[in-house]
Amino acid sequence: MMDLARDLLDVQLLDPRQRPIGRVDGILLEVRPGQPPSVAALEVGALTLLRRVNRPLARWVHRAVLRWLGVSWRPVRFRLEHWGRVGVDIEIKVGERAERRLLRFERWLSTKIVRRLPGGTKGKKQ
Amino acid sequence: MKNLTKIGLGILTSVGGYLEVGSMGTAIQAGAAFRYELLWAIALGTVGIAFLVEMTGRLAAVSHHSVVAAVRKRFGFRFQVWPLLSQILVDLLVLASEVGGASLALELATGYSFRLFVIPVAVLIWALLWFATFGAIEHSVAVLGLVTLSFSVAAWWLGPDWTAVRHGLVPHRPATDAAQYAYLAVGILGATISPYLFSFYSSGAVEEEWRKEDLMPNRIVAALGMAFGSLVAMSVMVVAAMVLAPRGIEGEMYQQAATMLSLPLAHWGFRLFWLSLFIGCVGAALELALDVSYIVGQTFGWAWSENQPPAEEARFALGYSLAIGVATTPSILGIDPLKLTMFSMAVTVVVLPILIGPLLVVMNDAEYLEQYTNGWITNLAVTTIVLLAFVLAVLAIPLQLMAQ
Repeated sequence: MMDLARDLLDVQLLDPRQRPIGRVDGILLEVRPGQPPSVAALEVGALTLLRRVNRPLARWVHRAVLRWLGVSWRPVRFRLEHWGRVGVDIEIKVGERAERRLLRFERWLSTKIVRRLPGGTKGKKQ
Repeated sequence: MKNLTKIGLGILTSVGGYLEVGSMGTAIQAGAAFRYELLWAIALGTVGIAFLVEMTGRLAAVSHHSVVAAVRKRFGFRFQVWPLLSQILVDLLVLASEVGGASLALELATGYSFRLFVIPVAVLIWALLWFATFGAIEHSVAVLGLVTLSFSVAAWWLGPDWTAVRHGLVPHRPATDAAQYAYLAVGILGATISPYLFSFYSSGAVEEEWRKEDLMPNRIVAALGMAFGSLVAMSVMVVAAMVLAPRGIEGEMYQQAATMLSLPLAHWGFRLFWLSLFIGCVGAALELALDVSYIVGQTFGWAWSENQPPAEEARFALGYSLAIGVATTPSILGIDPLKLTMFSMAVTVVVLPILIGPLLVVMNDAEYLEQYTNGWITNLAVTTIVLLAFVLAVLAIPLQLMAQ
């Protein structure tokens, strides 16, 4: 038994190395005739979040990003078999493709700008 | 050692909360205009912030959630977007005030216009965040922050009228200029109950992986840390009341106000004044810039830690870099840092209910706090103080605008 809105939506997601990779921004339900709805996948992405705030605004931003930046901004989906609970968070098996999409901006920023600045890659210790 | 770290976090939070341009600016203005009469506002704000800091430390220790993470999970993003935007707005306004305040300290030290120092100050704040670990920032600000105790030494040396001080600690109506009095009370409350303080503190507690064993040290740190800051803020008001008020120097005339420590501490006084202001403002600016990165990172579930090299958490580094960049704008444009500060403090008080209401709901939810939910005293105290500050702000801000 799980209360989707309370126990799943907006929960922190971790990769198998326990690194935070996002939150459950949306839940995709599957509706089959004659059967109760079931959770098909979890969605992670700013577009899903924006849809929750205002759908027309999300559509407009999506079109603008596609047009001006040439980047598709679709949310990443994880099917149910890919996840397990770790304390208050959810651990998720992230495929290479999904990870690339989730961390696209982070990696671009890191390699194109941050690593080129002094002190960008080292200098701190835990 | 671990408890020392906690005390460090408490003092850092406290230094950032009390010894920056907001608290110093409002305490000087209030002391110069109303002597001891507004001491109660610092005391009331201190009770409020001590409760809030303790609450958020408890939330981190029991549920391992920061405030932002808990509010998003409990209420969903559609609701959380409003407290999030409010907090970013307030953080940026206060950060801009701190950048202005630190630049003003350098103007006092050198005699050159504060506008010349805005970019160097911003670069210094950015470089500290870029190169240093959380622990290094925490400990150096906590130690350097002790310089602000010079205000307490000065207040003690001047020997205030303790009966008047006691009278000032009880809320009362002023003899003259009620609009200015109420506006300053709002400013002091906004400077004291700064939302970034407790969101920063809870992020630090999560980052330092507090556990339930840390609940008692958390309580002590919240009380002692905030009492330390409150003592200094009250000392600033007392010194202003004793040095500036009799000479008719207003708090806004900061060139003259900066001489307030010269009477009790001779030629060291002026240096200690600008040094205290500079350290306090830089300390607060570090917290504010980090807080912007923390709350954005926590909202979206990104990795967030001040202890990782910037390349490992590039979005986190981008957050504070952008915040610092945006916050330099008002001072570069020449907006008076003290006016900006009063405005920022007033806006802070107006948005307090949006930020603290959801937190109170989380703090009473056993899903997060197990058996450590808020007691009725905490709920009543925080609700009363926040509502009182809000009502005062709603009444005082239009009155002040009309008076101008």
